[in-house]
Amino acid sequence: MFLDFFFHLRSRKIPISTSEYLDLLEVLRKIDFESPVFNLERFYHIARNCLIKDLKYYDAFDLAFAETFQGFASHSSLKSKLEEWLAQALQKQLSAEQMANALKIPPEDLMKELQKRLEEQKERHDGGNKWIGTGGTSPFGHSGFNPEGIRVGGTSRNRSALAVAGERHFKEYRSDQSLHIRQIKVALKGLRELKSSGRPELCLKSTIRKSCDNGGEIDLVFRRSRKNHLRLLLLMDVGGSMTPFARQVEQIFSAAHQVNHFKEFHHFYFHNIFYGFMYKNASLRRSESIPMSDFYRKWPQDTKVIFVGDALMAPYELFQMNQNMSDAYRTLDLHGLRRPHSHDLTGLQRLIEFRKRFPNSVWLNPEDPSFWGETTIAAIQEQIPMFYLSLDGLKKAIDDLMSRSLRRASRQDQS
Amino acid sequence: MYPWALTLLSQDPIHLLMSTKTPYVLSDELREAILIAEITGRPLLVKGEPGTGKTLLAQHIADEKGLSLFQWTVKSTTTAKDGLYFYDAVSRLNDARFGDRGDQVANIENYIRLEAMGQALDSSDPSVLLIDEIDKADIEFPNDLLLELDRMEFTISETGRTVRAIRRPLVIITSNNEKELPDAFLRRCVFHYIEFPDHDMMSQIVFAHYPSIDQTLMEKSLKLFYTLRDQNSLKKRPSTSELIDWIAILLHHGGKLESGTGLPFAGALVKNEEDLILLQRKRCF
Repeated sequence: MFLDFFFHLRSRKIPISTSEYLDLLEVLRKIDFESPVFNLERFYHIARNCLIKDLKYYDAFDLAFAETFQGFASHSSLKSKLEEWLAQALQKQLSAEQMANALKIPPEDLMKELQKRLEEQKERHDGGNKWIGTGGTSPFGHSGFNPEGIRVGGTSRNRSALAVAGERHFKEYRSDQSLHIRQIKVALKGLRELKSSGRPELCLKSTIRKSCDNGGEIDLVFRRSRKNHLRLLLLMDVGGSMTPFARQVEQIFSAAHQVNHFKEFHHFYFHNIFYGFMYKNASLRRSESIPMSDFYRKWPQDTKVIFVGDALMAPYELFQMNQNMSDAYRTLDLHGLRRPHSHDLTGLQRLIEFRKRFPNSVWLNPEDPSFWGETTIAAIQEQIPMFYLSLDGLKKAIDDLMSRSLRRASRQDQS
Repeated sequence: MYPWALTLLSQDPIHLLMSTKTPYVLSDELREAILIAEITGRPLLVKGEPGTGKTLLAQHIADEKGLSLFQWTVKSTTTAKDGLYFYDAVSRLNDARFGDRGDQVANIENYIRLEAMGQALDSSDPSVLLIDEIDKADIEFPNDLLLELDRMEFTISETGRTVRAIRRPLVIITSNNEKELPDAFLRRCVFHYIEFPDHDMMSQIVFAHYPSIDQTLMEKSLKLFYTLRDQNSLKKRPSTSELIDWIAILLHHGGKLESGTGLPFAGALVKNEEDLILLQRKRCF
């Protein structure tokens, strides 16, 4: 039963290991001897405290809890089996010698023992719901345990643990769904390349330390401060299919803007895919745009670039030449029918060119990954690493950016 | 097993501490979390909205169990060593150069001062150690504490002395979620998220602070308070501590809350200028 629960939790991508599971068993073993009340509600809180280490997993925990124990409360046959087992377990537990032995096992042995039990129980589990009864090795349980404990003790809320779990109270804290500016900022802090810079300044702490080591002879120590040398460009798709995601894009922009720890941070806009220009303003005014040639010249190659866009557009915008409507219209305004550039490239080729120029670039897509099979998304994803615009995705994207630059640095060292 | 764990369970579900100190209402879930932390011997990591009494918790536990409390408030510049001990090199230098306490200077131990965590480990009595707002420090800070929290010992590198805890102190760590804590650190903690108190719990808390409060005033103020909190557009939602302050002001002004007069003394509840303007525009109170 508990193992089922354990694997349900794991299947929901909650990072729990045997050590948390052992914690839970230890707590259950010790707590039962002291407490007269033990119901599902209490077990819910104990299990959550022991197994879950972050608020963002509370929701997944609730789901797994409901899944594991929902049927449990109603199955009468299972209930009698559990009672049977509890009665046996109780007898076993009364042996004081066993208790003493159990406490003396060093951690390594405990791990081995658990491993053994895990295997053993898996086998028996296949035969039915019997693993609970295996030899009484699992030390939890008490005759006071009521599997139908759908009742809240103490507090006045009158809700069962299952009802609480079913309510999904913590849904908004899931990291794979919601983004908060503060969380984005925390994630963006991962983008750093510290380098010594500026004039050397007197380091008081080291000076005192050094002087003391010298037996009181003053020895001045100078250090240069370390600063983040990272340049970040945020390129955002606006308008059309991006409108529903405007809020998310705005959040990520304001977070990046507020983090304030980059050497340089700039943001530009484009519609669907860029051609000859990037726009400084979300209204995509030609007067406030920068030609790509200048864009490429302006920042060094190690600049980090984050695209935000759904990569959804009519295929011809990506695969044919100069079909980007916004560019075309604006060009028409100013130059009549003249094409904006002599060297014509498709949107996709532009992207490839861009990536060659800035290898440290990633694409964040607010569109649900199940839609990523779409022609244009798939084509863009082939050229540039694409991540889902969630906190998890953002972290992965940042990891990707940082590891890429690290790899290049080490390659340069070797050559 | 901690000897005082037993006494925890024999208490009433809601324990009210009425003393000169701030009253504190301990919820069942939190009590459970503390018990688990004691049984497993792991630090208890408490998160929750600001103003839900994370810091007060440690004080309350220490008072309730009659243990001494060691408090380490983490700042943005704090390093792991700061909580363990401090080597007062400047005094030593001063004494060596200008002082006449030559024999004292020779012994480094005279210039080592144990800090909160160091004191908690050094103490021969069981104690409560509060590491407050651990997320304020550098991202790597919690990782630097892993060994100390695991083994409950550390070595003073200047003297080579090892301070080892005879009794593991009950460690309570609070975090405001400003920075993500490292996984290795989380794995060693028991985690509890303090949910915002519901109406019943909040009545108990208010009652603990103001035992003589008028029932209708309490109901009215709580209703206003929760309506205010339900405004999704607020940038900073008022929390328990702000409610307590607000009621104090209401009581001071005669303890009357007329309906239809808007939200009196809104400044005590709403701390953000934009929110205040928003409230005035909405006229929902």
